[in-house]
Amino acid sequence: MKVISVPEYCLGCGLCEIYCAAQHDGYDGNVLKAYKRGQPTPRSGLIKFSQISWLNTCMNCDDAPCLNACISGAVKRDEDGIIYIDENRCVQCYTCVMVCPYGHAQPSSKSGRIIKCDLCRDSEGIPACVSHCPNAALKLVQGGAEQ
Amino acid sequence: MKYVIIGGCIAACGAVEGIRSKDAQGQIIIIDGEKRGAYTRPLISYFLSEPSKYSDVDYRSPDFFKDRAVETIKARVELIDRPGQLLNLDNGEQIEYDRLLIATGASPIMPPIPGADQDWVKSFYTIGDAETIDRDIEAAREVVVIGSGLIGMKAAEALFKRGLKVHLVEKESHILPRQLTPGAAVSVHRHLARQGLDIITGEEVAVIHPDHQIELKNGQKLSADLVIMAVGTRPNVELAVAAGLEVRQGVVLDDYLRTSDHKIYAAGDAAETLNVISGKQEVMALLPHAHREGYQAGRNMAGMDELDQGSIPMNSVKLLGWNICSAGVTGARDGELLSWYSKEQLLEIKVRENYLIGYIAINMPEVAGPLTNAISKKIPAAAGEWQEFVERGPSLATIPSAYWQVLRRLEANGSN
Ligand SMILES: Cc1cc2nc3c(=O)[nH]c(=O)nc-3n(C[C@H](O)[C@H](O)[C@H](O)COP(=O)(O)OP(=O)(O)OC[C@H]3O[C@@H](n4cnc5c(N)ncnc54)[C@H](O)[C@@H]3O)c2cc1C
Ligand code: SF4
Ligand code: SF4
Repeated sequence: MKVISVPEYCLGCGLCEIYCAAQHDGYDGNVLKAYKRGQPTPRSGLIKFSQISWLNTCMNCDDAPCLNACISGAVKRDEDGIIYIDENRCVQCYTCVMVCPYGHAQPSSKSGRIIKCDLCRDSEGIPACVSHCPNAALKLVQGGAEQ
Repeated sequence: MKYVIIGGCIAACGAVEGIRSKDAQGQIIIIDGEKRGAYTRPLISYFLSEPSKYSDVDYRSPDFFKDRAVETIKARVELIDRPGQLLNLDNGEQIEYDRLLIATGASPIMPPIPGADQDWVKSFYTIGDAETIDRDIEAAREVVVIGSGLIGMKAAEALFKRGLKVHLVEKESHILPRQLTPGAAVSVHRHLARQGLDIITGEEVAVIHPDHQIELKNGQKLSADLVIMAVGTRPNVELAVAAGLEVRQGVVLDDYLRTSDHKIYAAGDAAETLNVISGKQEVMALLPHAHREGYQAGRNMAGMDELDQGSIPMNSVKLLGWNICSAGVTGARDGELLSWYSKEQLLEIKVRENYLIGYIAINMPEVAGPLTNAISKKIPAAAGEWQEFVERGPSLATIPSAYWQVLRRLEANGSN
């Protein structure tokens, strides 16, 4: 499973980033709480590339480079195939960052540890970015990406 | 099918995952000479810096082997008997195999420096080494680390964090000689020196005197309670040599990671694998490679015929708060050098005919992933795109469009 971006529909409005951040770090999808009082950090970043833009999501790669590379065993795959970070094990070496083809896995500006898209695995329903995109530029689809 | 793996660390774990992705039933036996379970060597420097926080150095969860029905035998393999397809262990046991993986890793090199055989001169390679050093530094104040490769740097950093006075001696003209250009090394050197590390480059240790004086070739003397020797590693190939397998620096493999005996595979630090930039088989001795090769060898042992894609030298390390990523070739003679700096950040890229062939990124992990993959996947940019990437300020949005197209991010528009 992964979220893919359809660049020709993307307006570059950034709502996906906002709802992504609000879905994590215990804000429970509450945008006001996250943005009024917290330090929200989106897992996926919007890339604005000349005339077009897209949300740089995780492809949950089949033979995932980040999983192969992690020096501490902090990168894991759950039963649903979702690649996630066991944050307590992360030693901030950024080896996973160095190998992610998409530049998706990135250090958190708060903790320095790696944060990445986890397809909102801790909450019900479809990922927050997909459900809040006003122009249907994000889709949840099956499969990973071959590397 | 009976799979046997010699060595029980990174490449071995990769192999178990690879075998089990294709064969849920076959018997898997790991024979490992180290007392600890499958732990991850890079974490030993974190352990040494703060033993209570980083006491868990396991690579996989405690149930990893059990869940995958893997039997582990704690013993050393003494001989590979190829005609008999069996192994002789140092505990007297004999183990038969249908498919064998050599995942024996590497060992630290101990150079013939006079005095290097004293018991206060240590290597820094196993969790056992780290535990001994942890005990020995209780009463220590000063330490000399010989060699500023990754292992030496991480050892120096850990000991520095423990409050010791650390002298780092490097015989090349700059630190991290295999990862950094002289230019990039200057800023890292300055960062570390400012925090209080004593770094001596272009100098060799001549004698380690019994009175704890370390004499350099230029006559300078350093005193130290402890010396850490970190001048490099060499692949553990003795078993392969004795078995008559083809060995150069590491065990020689074909494109399917098989040795010259097709029932025997090798992976990780013990093996030579394809460096896609040089086009040569080389020992790259890096953890991501060990896991990936182990995984690929495991799949092929389980009956797949998948070509190994090869890889490139690459490394990412954090040293006293600074992140340094480098990949590909960084040598002076190769390609055109383009660089970009800002306060505490530096990017150097090497370009040859629109292909990226190497980079060094200091404190800018945000672009490292695509750069590594542009090199390893050999994705050409349009003329001038790499120059533009640097001039406009390196970011994911200035990565050449050809790269994103190959990754199918720009598929729909085909934008240029
Ligand atoms: C301090 C330190 C820091 C490092 N940091 C990094 C880093 O940041 N990034 C990176 O990419 N790499 C790093 N490395 C390198 C990395 O640890 C190795 O590339 C990796 O461990 C190789 O895995 P391997 O499975 O091939 O070999 P190993 O992990 O060395 O495992 C080999 C195993 O085989 C066993 N063995 C050998 N011979 C026999 C025998 N005859 N019988 C039975 N068992 C045997 C050994 O006891 C050992 O347990 C670091 C290494 C060290 C020491
Ligand atoms: S390599 Fe990157 S895109 Fe692939 S699974 Fe890991 S984080 Fe996701
Ligand atoms: S930064 Fe963390 S998650 Fe990434 S490779 Fe290093 S330890 Fe693993």
